[in-house]
Amino acid sequence: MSDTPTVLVADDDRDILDIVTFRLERSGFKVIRASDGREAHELAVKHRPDVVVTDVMMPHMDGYELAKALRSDPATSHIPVIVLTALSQEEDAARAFESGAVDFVRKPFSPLELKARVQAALQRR
Amino acid sequence: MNLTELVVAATVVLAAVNLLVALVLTLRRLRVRRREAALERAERDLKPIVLALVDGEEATLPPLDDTSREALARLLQRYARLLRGEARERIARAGRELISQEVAKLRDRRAWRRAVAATLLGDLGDRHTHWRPLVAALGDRSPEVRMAALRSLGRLGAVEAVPRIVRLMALGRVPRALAAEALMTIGSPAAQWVTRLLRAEEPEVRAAAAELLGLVGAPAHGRHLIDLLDDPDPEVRVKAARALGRLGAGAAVPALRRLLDDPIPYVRGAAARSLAALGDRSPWGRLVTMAAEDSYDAARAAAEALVTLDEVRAEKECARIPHVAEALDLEALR
Repeated sequence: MSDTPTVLVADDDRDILDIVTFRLERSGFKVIRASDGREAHELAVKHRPDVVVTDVMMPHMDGYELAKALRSDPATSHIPVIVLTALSQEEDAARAFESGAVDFVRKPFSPLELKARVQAALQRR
Repeated sequence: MNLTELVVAATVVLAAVNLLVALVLTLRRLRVRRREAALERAERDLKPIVLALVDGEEATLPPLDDTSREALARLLQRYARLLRGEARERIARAGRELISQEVAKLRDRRAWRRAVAATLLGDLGDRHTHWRPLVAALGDRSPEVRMAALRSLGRLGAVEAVPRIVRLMALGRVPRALAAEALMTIGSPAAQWVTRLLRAEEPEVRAAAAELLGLVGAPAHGRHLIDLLDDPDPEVRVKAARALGRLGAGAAVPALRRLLDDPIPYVRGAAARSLAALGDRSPWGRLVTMAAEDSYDAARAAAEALVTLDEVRAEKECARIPHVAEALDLEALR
């Protein structure tokens, strides 16, 4: 891990990407952005980020599939995945954890809280 | 002028009119496109400042022309829907000046303008300042305005609006799903206000309050709903029974068992489903009798309850009862 932790943020909503990127960069993280699940998977394999923050409903590959794909690849299985989603049912959270996510944040969200959860995920690694 | 000349003249006039209409439409389209491009440029310029503002940094907005004001409103509105907590409060502060005219627009003669104002107040408004005008908009003659006001009250977390929302839902003035969504957005603070309406004079209001308490309440609210199982109005008893099942209020089991003998089949059915949701197997025999002999609604509900409670036992002991056989088939399809 380099001195500056890298966070991969995957969401098809440009506003979410902007808000999360702004907060995480201000907190000293390097941020890589992806606008769909497949792109996020490719970038995760290529850059091996320290944490992945992903939406669930995205084109090509959803957040659950992304978390599963990362978990099943030995090269990326150590990367903690945080799911950030507008889905709010208990079963959505359960499915996220079953897919390999370590945390579940509901939208609307607090950027400060998300940053704290990213830091917590980094510490737990 | 002979007929041929007349036809030629009419054709020329029609072609000219067509050309003029096409020209006007093209110009209008160009104007819309130019305006959209200007808005996008303004949004791009404002975005770094707005992101800093929302994040809590010291940032000052430049002087704004009409286009920039609209771009700022669009940005803040979109961000407001994504964020909560302090970031959301900062958006309300940044948007205060932008929405100063919106309360007045709630009285505009055009319904679309009233609906836009109601939406904007929900995105950029402040609960303490704007819940009253939005509650007034719930009585608007246009359903679009009422729905926009309802959503906005939910987004602002306006608990003060809960009694009015419940009453309007009971009267059928706002869609049930939207009223429920607004209350669920407000969250658990709404439950306390809904509880007070369980004792309302009008049965429709008591029924609506019971239904909504089932969505926003907690098992501890069960004791208020148990009293309603003896309500003289069957609709209230049904809504209370369903809410108790949904909340998982175990303390309601004895009262729900008694309700299996209610004179109204619809009520007996609701009690059977809720007892199944609460996992109470003790009235098994009564449910079997209901499934076999009761009227259609109650029998069906009892059959579903039996399958929910113990699918294997239901198949073994009661598959000969047509409603139970159907419930088993439906369960197998899931």
